[in-house]
Amino acid sequence: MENKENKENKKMDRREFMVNSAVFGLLGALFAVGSGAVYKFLKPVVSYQTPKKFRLNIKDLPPVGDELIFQEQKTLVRRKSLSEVAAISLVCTHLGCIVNKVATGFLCPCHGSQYDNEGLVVGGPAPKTLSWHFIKVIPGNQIEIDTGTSLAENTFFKI
Amino acid sequence: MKELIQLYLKKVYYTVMRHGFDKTGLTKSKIIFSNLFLHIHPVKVHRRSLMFKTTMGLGVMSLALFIILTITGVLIMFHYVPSIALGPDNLPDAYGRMLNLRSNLFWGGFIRNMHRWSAHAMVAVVAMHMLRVFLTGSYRNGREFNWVIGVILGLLTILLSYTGYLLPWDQLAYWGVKVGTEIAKIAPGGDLIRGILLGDNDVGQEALLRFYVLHVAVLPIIISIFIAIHLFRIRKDGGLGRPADTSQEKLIPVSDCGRVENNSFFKSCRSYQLVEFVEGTEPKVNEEVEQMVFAWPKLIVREIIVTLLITVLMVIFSIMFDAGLEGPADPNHPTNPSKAPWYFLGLQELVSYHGFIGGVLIPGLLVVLVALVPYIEMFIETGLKLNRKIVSGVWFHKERLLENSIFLSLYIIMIFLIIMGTFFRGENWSFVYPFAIQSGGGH
Amino acid sequence: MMRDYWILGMLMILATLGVSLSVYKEMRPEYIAYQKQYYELTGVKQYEYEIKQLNFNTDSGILIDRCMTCHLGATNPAASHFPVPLNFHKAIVSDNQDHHNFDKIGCVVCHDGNGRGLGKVDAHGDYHDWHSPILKGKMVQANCSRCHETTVNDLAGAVNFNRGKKLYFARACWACHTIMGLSSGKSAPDLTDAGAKFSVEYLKESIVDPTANSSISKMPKFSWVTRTDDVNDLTIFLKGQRANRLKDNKKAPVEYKRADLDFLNITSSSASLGKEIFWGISKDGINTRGGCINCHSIRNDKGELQGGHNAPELTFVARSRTKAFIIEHIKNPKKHVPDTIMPSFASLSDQAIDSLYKFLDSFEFSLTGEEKYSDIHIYKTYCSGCHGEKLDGRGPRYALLDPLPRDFTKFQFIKSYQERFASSIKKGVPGTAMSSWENVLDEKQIHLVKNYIIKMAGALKDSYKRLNIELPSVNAKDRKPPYAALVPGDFQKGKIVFQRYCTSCHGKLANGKGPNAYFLVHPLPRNLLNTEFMNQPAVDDKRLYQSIMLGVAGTSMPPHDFLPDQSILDLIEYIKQLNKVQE
Repeated sequence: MENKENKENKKMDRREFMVNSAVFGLLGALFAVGSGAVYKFLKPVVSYQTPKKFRLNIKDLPPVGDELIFQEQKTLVRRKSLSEVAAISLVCTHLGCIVNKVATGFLCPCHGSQYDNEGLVVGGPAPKTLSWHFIKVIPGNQIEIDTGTSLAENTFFKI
Repeated sequence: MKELIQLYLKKVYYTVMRHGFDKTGLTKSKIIFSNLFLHIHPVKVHRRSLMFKTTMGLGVMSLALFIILTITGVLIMFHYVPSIALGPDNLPDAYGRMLNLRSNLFWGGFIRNMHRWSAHAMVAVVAMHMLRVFLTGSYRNGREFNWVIGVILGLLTILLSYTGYLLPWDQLAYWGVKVGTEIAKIAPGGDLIRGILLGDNDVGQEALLRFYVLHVAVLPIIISIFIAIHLFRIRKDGGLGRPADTSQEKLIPVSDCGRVENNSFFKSCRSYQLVEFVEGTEPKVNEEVEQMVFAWPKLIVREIIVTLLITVLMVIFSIMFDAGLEGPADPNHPTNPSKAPWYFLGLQELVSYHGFIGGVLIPGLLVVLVALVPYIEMFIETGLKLNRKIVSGVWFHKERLLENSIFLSLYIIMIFLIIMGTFFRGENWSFVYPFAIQSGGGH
Repeated sequence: MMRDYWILGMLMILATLGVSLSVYKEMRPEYIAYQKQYYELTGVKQYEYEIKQLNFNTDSGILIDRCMTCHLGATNPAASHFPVPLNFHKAIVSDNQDHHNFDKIGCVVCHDGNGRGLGKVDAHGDYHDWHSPILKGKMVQANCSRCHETTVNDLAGAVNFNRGKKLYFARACWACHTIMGLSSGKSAPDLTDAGAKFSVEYLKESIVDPTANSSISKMPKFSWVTRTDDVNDLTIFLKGQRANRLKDNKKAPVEYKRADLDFLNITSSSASLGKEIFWGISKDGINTRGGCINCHSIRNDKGELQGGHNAPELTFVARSRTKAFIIEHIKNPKKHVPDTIMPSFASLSDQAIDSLYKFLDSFEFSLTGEEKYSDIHIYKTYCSGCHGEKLDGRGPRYALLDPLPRDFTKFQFIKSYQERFASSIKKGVPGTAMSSWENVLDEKQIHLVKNYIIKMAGALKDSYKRLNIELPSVNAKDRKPPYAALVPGDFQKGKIVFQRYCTSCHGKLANGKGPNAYFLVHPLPRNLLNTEFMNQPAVDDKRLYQSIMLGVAGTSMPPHDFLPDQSILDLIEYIKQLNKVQE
């Protein structure tokens, strides 16, 4: 008699346990989905400042051997040959000032960091080379410069 | 080695939870009172309180909605600016943020829908909760003060909903709030309150900022405190209202409330071992002990069920219906008709008959009367030496026929007025049939 | 207990499904399909789905533009043949020097819509209450003026916009409406910011049917609104009117200059010049400031009507009104007819107005031959334009006249007042659009048309007779108690009586615009401040007494025989005092 009741109880407990684990599993899944969505909700998708990427028409690029500065995007576009371009950031790697282009390279007006023409540090407190940006050719004879990227010096791209 | 690891893990577990999950009475008590979120519940609860017909879960639903609103509200706050500065596309900043929320933020539209619909639902659920409490006479027999707290909570809910109404800064928001604050003007001293609320001559930047601060900081804190008091008082007043003797009622069988092992000690007492020595009748001690069951797991599970139910309803509603967003607020182009939020439409309908009587006198009196109704009842009963044997917790008690009819008709009149204001009022607040084609407004 | 767990489980499944569904919906925005299609068409292998945003920095802030998230090929000439929305956008100016770089200025600046939106409906603003739905086709010209100056000079390329601007003058919109720098009409809403406030559809609707959005609008319904291209071009012009431009005065080619009034420097007057002003013809590339023809009509020598039907016909005006009246009426129409909707043309020079008069004076049309003495022809030619062919006071030009033309179908009215008719026709009715006809019609014709009206109204039958009561005399001794002797009327007491019994129709100001006036149809309550009308000899104390006591037959004015004589005398005094001409 007692044994039978015990058995019944055990069976009930097992069923309860199974349903409860399922509930907790689902709760976990719900939590995971929710957190993922909230993460994407909080992740920036577009910018209200200057967008990271900007487009340029190839015919608007500087002539071979010349450079062009885009103030708003804080970027210098350099053309080595007819089919090779590169974009160099004008943001000082020290504390984020905008460097000036001078004959010997780049000069930061804030704390006197000096860079050569490739953006390599030659003096001052700057810790590393100026970033070179990724350039993508997109349909319609255009290039898209991604100012969010940071590549090694002398990274030229084929256009 | 294996034993050492097990010992270590056991120690770690003990730092977090001081109990297992077996089925002994001791564990069941521990689960409740060693947990911050659960210990607002009593360890043992009357079987009657567990039944759907007693509360219909409306109080828990209100709380659940408040929690949903807090979570979604905080998420929206990350993307909102209470500013009406115009951009070049002539969009106020706050409104532009709404567009962002709706169109390019991942899940933004859903969160906004949840927030909007839950806010409306909360006003409705709170109103129904109040109706339930009245119709069961649950505010009697020592629970009078908690009713007053409840009325204050109801007012706070409406205020919260109303302050949030302005924040999207679209036409609906602007003119809804504009109309609402115009009603305040009629009251004596209402101009002053309106000035404090709006911070300016009219609804504008200052009003948006003030409504924002009220909506996200001041009112939530106040309402949280009052919710705490409300819940605390439920326990201190002896749980949910019920008849003194429930042995004849058909209740949930004890066997359906979870198996209890080693119950010999817990069978005969509740958790107030200490309070038993305290003089007085509140809280109620050792009353109907045999009708009590452990709150864990039955009560907790039922509460989670109610919470989940309302959440699921809100999620489904939010997926199916998008919260509206009209054109940006334009003070020079009133929408015609300008309607306040739905819960104020009854009031607006009354105002359309007579400004002072409909807008101030009737609602003011109603709020005061409703808030003081237990004390008025008490006053009359004491004065007339009436000894009505009314027990709380019984639906439509026959000795409360008069009170119940008055209160119920108030609700019906209010619902009628709201329906009238919502569906039967067109341009210039003239009578129209619902779904008649309205001529275009401003833009 | 188990049942509770099962319910819990089910609800948990539902909650998880619901939340997952809401997330799933967000995972598949509309633009992904377009981006995929575009990259397939262009053969690009490596790509990622992303929102393309462009921020156009204007002087007054940033213009957010996400259109190219879907319109990917807008700046790719190779995408000319791609399907919408991936196709190439042609250059606005076809030479190589086009400064409209879409990669820089984006789309919203010209096309409106909602630049933040990412779904089609959302981005195009194709939903209720969005203030600037997308502009397509020619309509885009409206937005040229957001950056370019268009007030003084015409903008090359914006053909329809420029035509709309010409129409704004030719159709005499300028006379009532204000647009800063273009016109300063005072009798209609300011349109300086019309483009920012109203959508294209709203503007178009309001031009075609002014009462569509504002039921009490007094704007005429012009006859030319059937011409779709005219309405479209005018709409484009109005949509281009914005108080806030994207470029400020200093930097951009936008500059406001008050345009001088054309024709202001006219030194001599002539009928042919008057004709040009009347017809609103533009001269030497200057927008003319005339256009009377849009409301008024005239009849050429053959008797054919030309022009609008919103104001009285002017063929006979030089013969039926004095020169002084006409010149005064052009300059200040409200002086003689207080309720007219005609705007003031005081900005025209004296010479221009004189030219107009000379032009109006050049008409010689009148009935000849057999028709000259045919009563029905006389009525149809001279009267029916306002009073209607059916004599119901609803002729083609009736609607905007105030007071309304008399409705002759109310025989009670005809019976009551027919002895006044001959003089009304001969001398006209002051303060109304009814002019004096004695220089146009001879005695016989007047007699004929008078009898025609009486006959047609059915007033020959002797079925109705109005009482003829005398004005009670002041201080008469024969009045028995309780009727005390009457004393002369008192202005203050009259005012009290008026406020109690008259204001619901005649209004608190006695201007005939009481709250009930909006529900009356024809005729409307008399404007008791119409000084010219109220001071004419025909409106004496006896007539006022009769009108108040007995009411006016055939109109909404009811009898007030419950008022004591003294109160009526007070009322008469009040009304007379209101109309006392200030010396």
